[in-house]
Amino acid sequence: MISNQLWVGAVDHRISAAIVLFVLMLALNTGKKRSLFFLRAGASMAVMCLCSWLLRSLSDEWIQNVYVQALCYSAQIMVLHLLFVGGSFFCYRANQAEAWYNGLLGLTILKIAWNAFKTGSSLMVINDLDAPWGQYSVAGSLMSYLVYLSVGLLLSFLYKKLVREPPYHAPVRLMTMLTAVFVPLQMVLEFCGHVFTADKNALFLYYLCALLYTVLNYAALLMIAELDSFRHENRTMHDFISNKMRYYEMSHEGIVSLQTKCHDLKHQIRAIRSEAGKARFDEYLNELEDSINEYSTVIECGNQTVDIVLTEKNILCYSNHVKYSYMIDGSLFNFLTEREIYSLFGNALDNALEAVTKIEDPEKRMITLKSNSRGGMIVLQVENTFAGDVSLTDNALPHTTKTGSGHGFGLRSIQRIAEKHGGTMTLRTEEGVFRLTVVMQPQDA
Amino acid sequence: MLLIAVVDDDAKDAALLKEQVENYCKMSDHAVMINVFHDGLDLIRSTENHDIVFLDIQMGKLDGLETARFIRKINKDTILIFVTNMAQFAIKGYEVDALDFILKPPTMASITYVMDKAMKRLDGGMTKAQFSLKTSEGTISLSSNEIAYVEVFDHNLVYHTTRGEYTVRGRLGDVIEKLNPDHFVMCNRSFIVNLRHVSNVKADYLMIGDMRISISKSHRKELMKRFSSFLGDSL
Repeated sequence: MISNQLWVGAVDHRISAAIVLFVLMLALNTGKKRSLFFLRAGASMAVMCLCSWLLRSLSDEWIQNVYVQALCYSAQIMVLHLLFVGGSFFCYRANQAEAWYNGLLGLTILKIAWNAFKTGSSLMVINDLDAPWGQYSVAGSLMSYLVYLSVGLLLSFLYKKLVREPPYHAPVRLMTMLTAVFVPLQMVLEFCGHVFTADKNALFLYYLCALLYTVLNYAALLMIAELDSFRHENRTMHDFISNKMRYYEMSHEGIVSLQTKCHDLKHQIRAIRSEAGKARFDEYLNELEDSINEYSTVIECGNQTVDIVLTEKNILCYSNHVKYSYMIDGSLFNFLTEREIYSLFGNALDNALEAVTKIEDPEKRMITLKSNSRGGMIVLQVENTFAGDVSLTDNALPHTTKTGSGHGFGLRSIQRIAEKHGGTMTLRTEEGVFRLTVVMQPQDA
Repeated sequence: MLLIAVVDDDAKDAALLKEQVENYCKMSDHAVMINVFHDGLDLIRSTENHDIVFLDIQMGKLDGLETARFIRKINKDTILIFVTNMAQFAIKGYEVDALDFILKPPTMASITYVMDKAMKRLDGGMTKAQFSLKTSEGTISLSSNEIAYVEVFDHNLVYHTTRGEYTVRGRLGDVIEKLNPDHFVMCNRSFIVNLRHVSNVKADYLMIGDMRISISKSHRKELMKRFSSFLGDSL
């Protein structure tokens, strides 16, 4: 049987972290829950309870020296943080940056709740108000749970409301750096709290300061997440703009080649009008027909945006003497947005075009585009011949000597699109042929 | 010996193509026999099983795509290559699982390009490693293509094949070494799957027929990589 005192005073330290974890797990709901989510959340809570219980018992009951005890408390902060990180890994399909961030967020919310409660209760102690808030009373303990729950809920929902998406695009290094700053600071704070607060007034002031600090900490975390999503948006916009730029360049080339064609046509019409032309009227007309064929091609593959991209590249390939072939069912790509199609096909074909135009012999310039679906997976493949060497680096992006701000966005944005749709991008070179394969998985309707 | 068909209603075009394919085969040391047809119907009537068929898309009686559909009904393995003078006509080639298409007039470079691909596809189809399994009922020989997946069960290996299940003593680690890594992948500690038989891959499981096999986290990345390059190869 747990004594009244233990139940009240000690238990709340020991399960408070778990309460905050639970609230956080529910509130963070990013739709990337792992299977058996509630079981997992429950297990994390249990581990959290057990660990803080053990640590508390260790520091409260077996260690007498105040300094060692304080050290123990601050070590507990680190353990709790790691448990938060582990918990968010365990319950969500989070990436590293996200998990570290969630850990910090959890710890910060926990400390805000803790400091808020302590500030309140120490204020009561100063004013010598006995009972409900006082330590080791049933009401005080219940009150503390209420504070944890409400502060946890409030801050989690505030986070949900203010931050559009968790910082999963952020570099992991940034997150570990933040952790390396925030967690030790919390530990120092905890240490000081246990060592230097003998006086009632000092205790109140300490908790007030700690509360303010943790609130600031929380605000900083929200700002970081928001900044990250801005940065990500910025990057996407950059992609988009560089695509647009390329689009204009290409339209320009298309117009130029059309103008050349018109010029040629005038010559041909003149030839037909001539005496010789009248004699070989049919022959000339056939020639004329052939020469405009390339421009009258209407590509209908089942997706209008794909048609547009293909037509555009068709003209470009024609003017660069590239043999360009496509066997493609555009309707497979209806699940992509226009922008994604533009980015995917445009970037893939631009890369291919760039590579083939470096080949001196126009006969060897070839690009093939194919698509197929299999088992719910959609495969897009672009093959092109190339001259020289392309070395594929470890992160699967080819290593070239190109520089310039726009470089590297192409394949990266293809990869991003593939990953967004549950797939992958692979690159391979073989006997002078470069092959880009994108596998995607459209969401089940 | 390769058996190749060239189908084109224009005799000049057909002759040119035939000559270039012959050149390619001479250079790459392949014995070849090339039949020329001027109509899709003639090809179908010939009843011969060609390894590779070059098909003109615009033809009089039966156009290339229709012919291809006929061929596909009879033979799933024939390699189809369309020949056309306008790229957009070949756009439906995926429907009949065509390998590729070339634009007229064919050049040595474009012939080399598609023939290299075709030869690779043919080789891939031919290297079907034969397996002999010592089961309790006797020794069974089967080709690796017939294996759908191999499972560890109760210290035994269970081969799930298109012909049935066979239980054999052995270790999974030894089996994977013998199998072609392009087609066989581990998806968790006790399953090896043949990618040819995988019908669907989801976040944490894949389907072979009605069987749902879970993918462990440590194998997932490798599996996805192999599966996408497998799909890429089979295009």
